[in-house]
Amino acid sequence: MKDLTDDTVLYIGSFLDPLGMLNVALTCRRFGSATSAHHVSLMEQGARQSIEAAPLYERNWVPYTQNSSSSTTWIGLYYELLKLRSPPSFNTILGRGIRHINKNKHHVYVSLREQYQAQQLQDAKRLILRKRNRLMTTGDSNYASCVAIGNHIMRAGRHYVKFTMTRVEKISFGIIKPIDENLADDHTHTNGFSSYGCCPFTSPSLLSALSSSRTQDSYKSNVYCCLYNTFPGTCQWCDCNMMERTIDNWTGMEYSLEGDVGLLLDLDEGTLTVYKNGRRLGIMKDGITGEYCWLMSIQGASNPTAVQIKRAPIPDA
Amino acid sequence: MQTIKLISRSGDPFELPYAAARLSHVVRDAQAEEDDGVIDTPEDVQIIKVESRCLEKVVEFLKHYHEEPLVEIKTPLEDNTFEGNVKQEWYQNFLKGIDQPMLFDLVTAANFMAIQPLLDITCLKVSCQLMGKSAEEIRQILNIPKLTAEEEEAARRDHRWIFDD
Repeated sequence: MKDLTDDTVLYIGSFLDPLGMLNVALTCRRFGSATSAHHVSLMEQGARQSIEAAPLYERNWVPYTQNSSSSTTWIGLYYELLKLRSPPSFNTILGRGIRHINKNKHHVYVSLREQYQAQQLQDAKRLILRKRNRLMTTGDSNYASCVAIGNHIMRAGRHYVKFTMTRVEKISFGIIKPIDENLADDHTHTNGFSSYGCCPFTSPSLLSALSSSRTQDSYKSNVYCCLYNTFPGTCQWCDCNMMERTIDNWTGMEYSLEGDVGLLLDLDEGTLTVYKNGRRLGIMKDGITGEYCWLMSIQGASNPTAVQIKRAPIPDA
Repeated sequence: MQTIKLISRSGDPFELPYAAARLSHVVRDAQAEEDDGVIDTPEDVQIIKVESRCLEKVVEFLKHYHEEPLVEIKTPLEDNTFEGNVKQEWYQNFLKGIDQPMLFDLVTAANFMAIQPLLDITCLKVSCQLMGKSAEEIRQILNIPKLTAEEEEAARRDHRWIFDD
């Protein structure tokens, strides 16, 4: 091993994934400690070379700046790059009546009819109870709603995805600040989950918890989440205080009742652009900075639908 | 057919067609080639850094490559196994059964003699051995001495992110 040159070790490392590079870095000083020539370790150099070999649009996803924190490493950035390179999926699904199709996280099925029936049964029971015991019903009237949140945490560069749906009904697509999955799970079954408006969570206790768990990143932008409503085509967004919901018309606005909806998140320009069946409609929202995940939201639709998320090349303007 | 002898560190000669040997940049650069790659008589080359046992394997590789070039290894890798990335049976068998010291000797020889395809498959072979292994397992494979407790703590401190993820 000692006869292998640094270039050879780098080349061996180039075939490894970030975790493999890290484990090699942990084996000895030679591989894991910064060199006087390069100021980073051999494995860090290997990770940097792997990033530099990637296409420009991918390198822009994981910028390394002079201001990067001391905990940012090239191996860490390479790890982030590979995660972003993987196909986007709906890792987190919340609410009722939503499930992954055949365990495929790129594809969700929403059947709110079952939820409606369940909700109607619950309301009927409450009504009977009220009549018998002369109690006021406290059940809320929000019908079935659900959200699906993407696995990619995007913080720089340009990201384009296409949403394909079998039936368009009260579906919205957009972005949301990353959430703590465990936190969201704790509240899915309390007080009736609702994605009313565009702010997916109107449970006061969940809002309070999310507010207190915000990272510093949340403060960088006033946009907590932003959604394109397929009908009537408006932009709905709520601010980082999660208290105000705003509905905007925007230049180029159109509704989408069939086909694909594409979204281009440009975190260098701070914009979210909408595409309909490959045709650019326009910039729906600007002033977007920080980290975001993809978001799908359904509010009270009455017919089943399936939605798929896919990465696609950005259509020509 | 022109032939050439490559002479190992211990003086053993290994003869092969010059057309096969010139895959090595060291061999090619040692000749006075014309612009079209033609030479009158190839001169034997001393490979002073490579022992006989290893040079014999290198020559075997050069001869076969001339008949059946290695298909370029695609990156990012399609698989975590050597056979999953090198589909040609001869090349799979070429490295099957060799011991670790010989494998490292082949890596060193490929690097010294500037034989890129041989460097590709030997480095890939080593990488595949390391994939999915812990730092301690990698030390055993690469025959690296253990870190001191202080060195290990420093290394983990530098890469804390992955343990937090």
